[in-house]
Amino acid sequence: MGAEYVTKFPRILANVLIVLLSLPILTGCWDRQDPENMAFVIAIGVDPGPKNNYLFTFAIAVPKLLGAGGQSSDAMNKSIVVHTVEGSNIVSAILASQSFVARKITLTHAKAFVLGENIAKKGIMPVLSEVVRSQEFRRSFYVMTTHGNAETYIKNIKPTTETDISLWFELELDPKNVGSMLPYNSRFHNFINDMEKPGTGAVTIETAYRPDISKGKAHLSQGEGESEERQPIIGEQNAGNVRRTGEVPVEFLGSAVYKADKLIGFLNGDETKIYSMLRDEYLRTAWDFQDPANKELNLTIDMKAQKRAVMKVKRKKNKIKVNFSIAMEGDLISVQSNTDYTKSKNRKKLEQSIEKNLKSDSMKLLDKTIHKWQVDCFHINNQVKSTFSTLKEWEDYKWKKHVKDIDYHVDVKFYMRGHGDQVGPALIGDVLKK
Amino acid sequence: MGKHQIGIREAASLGIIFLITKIFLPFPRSMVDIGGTAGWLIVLIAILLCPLTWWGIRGVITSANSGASLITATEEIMGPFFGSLINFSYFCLFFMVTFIVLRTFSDMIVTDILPRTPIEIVLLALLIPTALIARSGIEVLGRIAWLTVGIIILSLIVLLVGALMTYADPKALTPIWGTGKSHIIKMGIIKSSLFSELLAFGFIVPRIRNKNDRSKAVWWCLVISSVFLLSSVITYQYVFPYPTGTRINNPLLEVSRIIIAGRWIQRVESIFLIIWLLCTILKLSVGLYCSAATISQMLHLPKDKILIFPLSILIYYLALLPKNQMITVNLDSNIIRTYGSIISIILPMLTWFVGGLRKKWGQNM
Repeated sequence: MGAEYVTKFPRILANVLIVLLSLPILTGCWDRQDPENMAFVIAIGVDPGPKNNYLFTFAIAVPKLLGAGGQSSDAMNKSIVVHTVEGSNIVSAILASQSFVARKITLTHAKAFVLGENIAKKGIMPVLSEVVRSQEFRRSFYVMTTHGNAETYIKNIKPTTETDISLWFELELDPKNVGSMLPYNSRFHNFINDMEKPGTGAVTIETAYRPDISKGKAHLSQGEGESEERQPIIGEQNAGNVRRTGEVPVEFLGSAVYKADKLIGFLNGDETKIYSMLRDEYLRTAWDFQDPANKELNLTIDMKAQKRAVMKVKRKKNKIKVNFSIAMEGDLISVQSNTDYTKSKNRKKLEQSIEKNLKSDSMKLLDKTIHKWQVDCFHINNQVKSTFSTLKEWEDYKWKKHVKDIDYHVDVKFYMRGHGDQVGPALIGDVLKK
Repeated sequence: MGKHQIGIREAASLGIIFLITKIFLPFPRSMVDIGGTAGWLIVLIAILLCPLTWWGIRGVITSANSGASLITATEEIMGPFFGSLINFSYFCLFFMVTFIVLRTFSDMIVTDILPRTPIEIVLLALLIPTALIARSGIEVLGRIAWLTVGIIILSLIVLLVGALMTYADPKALTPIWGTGKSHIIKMGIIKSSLFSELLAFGFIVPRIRNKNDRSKAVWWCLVISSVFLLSSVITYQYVFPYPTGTRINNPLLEVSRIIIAGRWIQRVESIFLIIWLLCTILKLSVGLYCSAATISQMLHLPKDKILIFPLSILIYYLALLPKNQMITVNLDSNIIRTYGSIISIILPMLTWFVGGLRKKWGQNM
């Protein structure tokens, strides 16, 4: 027993020594990060700077203080603190920010990357190339384009129902809440992948600051040139001009389309729905249409895709033909006219009217993006490139030049599945017929 | 005291871990870099050629006396001079794989996970457990590999499926021939060196208890490793389609970072990192063990153990030599994965051929 202990002793000693030597290495002191010493940037805004540089606006989450009941309500209600720094890149702007922010600024929890309209029109690749390189950025944050300056926009993010700014962004952009009024795939990964492909139109969320809401001067009058008789359609609005009053002075609605790295235009809520429908990304969303029985009134369909949208692309020599086959279905959830759409004849009329609407709106959107803007937001290029056998052949084809010549056709089918909890319209007793 | 013995499961697990760990390193990107949209085809061609390495090793081992390892068998067939030359080239391969993987994985940790930690500390933190495990011998290595291979494979499946559910470009693999048909076929043949690690079976196979299980262990390893090597490159191509896929520094780490399933399941890369760390340490241990075993068998030393710590120190200093991350990546891509098949396929085949000739001449005489 004793001899065995003596032979094992050097081995035990060696193991103990190795463990002891390993302990200081495994503490990880170099990269120690205490959350209470960190400032978490939730949103970053970019605007053009005065000297061929940029203005970076950082929204830093205000930590919730435990047992801070005695503090002023103003400080307690703030969910973010915002500052803007002039710099040639994000890292140098953060470094400059550290001169007055005591905590270590980190981008690891960034939720939103807000591009100001001016920088978006000028070109954003120099900024994005830093984002893809940074180890702190995750490719899962949302990219959004704001009307006006990103700085003004971020300064006016004042959520009223949420104290957690990160959760506020998640909820505002949750597809279950907004449906297809915002582009579904609007995270940075989608954006940069589309931007790096030739001829593809990258898309971001459209957002805007409302100075009238902020000053309490918002009014609900109709827009210019709109008919007084016809009910306006909610989806025909963009962020920045939603007819409303209220408190939160920012809003998200529609999408911003980029050609290469420059903003080329915006799509309103309904155009964004059509865009999502054609890209097979449509999520269940309420959709307003003109009532075929009374053009002055709207009816609302709770719309979803019946089948996956199919895009067939044919290439004959240099000519590209694209055919979209769409099948949608929905429940009639709001109708104000007295027409009973549960009756077969009326239902058919409604279905045909909606099909016609969806088809004409689809063609308008395709005309706008493909012919007018010459961008392919629908990943047509993906199918065209599969008709080539090598990358060289595909690159020599120069897809970008062919986008404007694409010939497209849309087939839309719509089926009315349900009609809410009532069969037939609600009628005043005097109107009721036998 | 007899030599340590292992079973079929331990042997296959060792081979799988030694082969597939490269998918956590820049391997998927280098495939896309070479083949464009056809990066996966290069891996497929390499998979079709990988049995050649095993057939070569099996041929060498069966041509020599019973119980011989690849090293002793090579020396027996080729003689002390040529045998030692060939064995030294095997040593170089194992040794290079070990220090390059150590440096590449450390670079990945320093770049993305622990940016302020000095690389020397990361190297040490990886090398100490590596040396300890390698010193414990093939039996311990085999047992640890068998215990961990399940969790490694499960984590890979979760990672690949999770990533594809988050983002997948449906036509990412087209144009089908990527950078060109002849280029893809040529590179597929050259990149058969992706399976150079199979040479480790030259040490593992003679230690398998049941002689009948030897081929079974290797084929299990080949099939499982091939499936994961191929599926990881395909998934990477779907998640980071060409040309984006040519620019990602740490491919699978980035793939794990984009996984999102609702508001609650995201930022999951930390879980995968622990498993990758485990996998890398095991790979390094197998590499270090094979390097030590090669040298000790070449020098006819009674034990491999005594060489583990001197070789570890050498590996540590060699891993520090590359001035930057790209030099290490290029060493792997331009040397090991370009000329590796000369060592892993041609040399065993040549030895087998010579062994066959010598047997034939011996019988005739």
